[in-house]
Amino acid sequence: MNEEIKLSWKGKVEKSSSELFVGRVISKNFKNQETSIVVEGKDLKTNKIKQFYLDSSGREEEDCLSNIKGLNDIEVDDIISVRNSKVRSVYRTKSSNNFIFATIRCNSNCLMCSQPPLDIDDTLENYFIWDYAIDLLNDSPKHLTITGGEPTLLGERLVLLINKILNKFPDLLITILSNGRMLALDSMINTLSSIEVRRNVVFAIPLYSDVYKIHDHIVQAKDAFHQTCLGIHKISSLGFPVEIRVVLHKLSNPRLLPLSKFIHKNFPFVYHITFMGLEIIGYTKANKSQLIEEDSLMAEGNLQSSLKFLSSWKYNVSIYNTPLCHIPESLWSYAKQSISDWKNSFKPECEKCIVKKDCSGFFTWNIKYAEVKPILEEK
Amino acid sequence: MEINALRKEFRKFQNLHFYDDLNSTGIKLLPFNFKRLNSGKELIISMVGDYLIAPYGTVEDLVNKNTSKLSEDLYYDLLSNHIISDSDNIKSLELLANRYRAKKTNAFNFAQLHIFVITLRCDHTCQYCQVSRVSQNKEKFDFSHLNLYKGINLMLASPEDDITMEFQGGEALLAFDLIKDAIAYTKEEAKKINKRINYVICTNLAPINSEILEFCKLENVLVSCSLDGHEELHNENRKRPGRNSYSLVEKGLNLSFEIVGRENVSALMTTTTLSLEHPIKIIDEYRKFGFKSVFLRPISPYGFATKNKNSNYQTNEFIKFYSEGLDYILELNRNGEYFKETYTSILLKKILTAYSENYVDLMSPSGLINSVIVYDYDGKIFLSDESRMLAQMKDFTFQIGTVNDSWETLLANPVIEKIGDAGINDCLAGCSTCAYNVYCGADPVVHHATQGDMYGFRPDSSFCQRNMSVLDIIFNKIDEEPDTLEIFKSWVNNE
Repeated sequence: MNEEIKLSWKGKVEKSSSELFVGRVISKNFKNQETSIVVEGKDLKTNKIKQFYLDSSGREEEDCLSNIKGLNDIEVDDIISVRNSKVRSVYRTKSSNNFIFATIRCNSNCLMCSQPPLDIDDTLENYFIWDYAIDLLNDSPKHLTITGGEPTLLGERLVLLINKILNKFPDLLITILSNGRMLALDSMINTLSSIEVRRNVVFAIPLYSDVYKIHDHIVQAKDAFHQTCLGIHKISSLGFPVEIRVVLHKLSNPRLLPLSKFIHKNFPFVYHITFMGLEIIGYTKANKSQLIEEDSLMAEGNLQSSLKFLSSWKYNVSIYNTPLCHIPESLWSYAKQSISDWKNSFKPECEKCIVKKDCSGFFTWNIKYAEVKPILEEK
Repeated sequence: MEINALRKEFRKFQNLHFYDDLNSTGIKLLPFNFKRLNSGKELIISMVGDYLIAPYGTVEDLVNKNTSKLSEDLYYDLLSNHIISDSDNIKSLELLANRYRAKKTNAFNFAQLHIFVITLRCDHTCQYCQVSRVSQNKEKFDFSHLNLYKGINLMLASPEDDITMEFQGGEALLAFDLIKDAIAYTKEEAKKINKRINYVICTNLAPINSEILEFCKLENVLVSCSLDGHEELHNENRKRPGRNSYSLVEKGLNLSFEIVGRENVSALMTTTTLSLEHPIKIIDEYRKFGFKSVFLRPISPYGFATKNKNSNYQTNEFIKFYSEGLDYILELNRNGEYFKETYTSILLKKILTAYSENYVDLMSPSGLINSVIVYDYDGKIFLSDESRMLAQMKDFTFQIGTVNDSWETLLANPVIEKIGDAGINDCLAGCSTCAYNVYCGADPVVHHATQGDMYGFRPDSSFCQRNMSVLDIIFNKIDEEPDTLEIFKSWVNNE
């Protein structure tokens, strides 16, 4: 079983003059059971270039955070940010799954949100962090996900970040995980139209039902369905590729086939449709009784007929985050392994499974709820 | 829209009922049409062409707002197929507007198909053609160079950037030198203004030879020929001295396949009284030549054709022919052979997808002006091929001018305003309430020709009867034969 990768740390602040520091790790030393890290970067408040130290020991110094646990996950060349006593990983140089965390705010409140929103405004801070982090990047990531919260709440600043990074790395592929609601607004569409290169910027937008009130209930926001549907039309007409994402659970499963038909009739231009397994983390834990499917036979049948329908119309369809032993063999070809390094966890029983190498495994946080049925021999 | 991300109370989870828009005034009906199927079930079609097959009595329940009688799934299907709305203000209105626009894209276009009747001369005297002349008189029946270039200039001055230039006759290849001159001139002029022109030659294949085909290959010209069916039928329909039309087609097709490639050769059939008995033989003839489709095409009900005993059949006879042919084709598909009927495929694309198909006879607004324009051999300009056939019977209603006119003058012709009116089936009596309205078209020319009125009278319109019958056949199959729907999909996907 893999450990979850740490993306934020807490330390003890001794005496720091800096309010918001962003920098690149230039060295990492391991001595006497203690890790010490040197970061070079800028205090974004004073614009002063300086070095900052992260330490697992009780070292007491200016521009240093001490007593930090789990520093091992930070590597040389990673980009981190420090604010007060909190360290955040901004960019992990060895990861193929880097993301811009745009904001923790959200205008929806999905029953199964894996990263529940907070009602604070962190948009400016996150913008400053990434605006400078882009300057620090040496090599282009292959792919970058912009996530949140709801990234479009960054407004114009989102466009500034995207244009800046695409200017530096023109071949970069960007996926924006947005609920699409803001895209129904002409003012937002106007703002996004300033993104110059659009074909490499995918909007991945969730749609959970073909019936307005079921979707609105799942995302806990009135009129969200109509806003998202219109948003999909509007963003696509600007020339951005659109992916539709469907999370599979007890509330979305019953109308999966009608939803697929709805997509075919209303959004035939989408370039990818993905069905994703439920993450048992965040709000999901509180809403388990509403979300966890008991009728797995119905769910399996609906998934099967939906995939058959969509692929008969030549759509590009995938299943994400679902282990192979949880879906019928006829659907294995649709199942994709996740690129996220914290999403490929396995149980001890999985070791004897002959299709483990093709399997996405589990979300790390799902593993304690997971039941597995290892595939032992060729069928 | 309000972004309420900073309101704490927003984070409290609500139940499904909280999100329900339905109030005490009940459901609202969106514009839809409906029809009963053979099975007794009800076919309900939304204004954007999404269809739903619902149990007997559904429409009555909707009209009476008796929603308690509907199952939850059916109720949800009605919502998601844009047939009803829960809220008083239609929240999906802008989405529906986009969908409607996608179904009606042709309304925003100008003619992409420009037909040049390069000569009226022909070596055939077909049963159903009143236009062509067996004559050596080039001066009288060919385009003059002056008119031809004026016509091309007009074509290039029209707004579309992608244009198909189609050479028709008579027998177009009797004026092959003229075609060569036309293409040379068009190429040069189109290059200057960055327009892309595709060329098609319609021919009976009798005059075809390797020199012509090498030219077609070089200039990417598509070859479209007439093939009415098996030898006996083809020769009877398509008369020529020596009764050898079929063997010339056979020879010409094989040579064309060899030189320009199968993908650049197509064939069209016309159904005469003699054809009615032989749908299967006709289809087999197309298969024999390796074609993957056939267009079971009725005769145009114009003048000469309607006076000829072999062209004057009733719509129900044609439908029987079409239906037998379609069943045979479906059987071929069930046995693993991909083969499609083109007219059905055009309708299926409208039924099964969000898009439309630019086929002139099935457009509303009609395809006149926004799909096709015809330049006749003598420099006259017509709204459609059928319009120039009418002119042969001294009816010039649909002639909008000549190549000497400018587009401004041509488009100011009063007939254009009339077809604008009579060419939108949402506004035609009998069409506006027809279940198939969104899939069908309006054809002011055919109704003027057959009924003396561009608006037409639906109860005895052969155009209406034929399209209604074909769509009935298609929908009853969709209702009753699940495997046929899969075959239909493969036709739309062009697999």
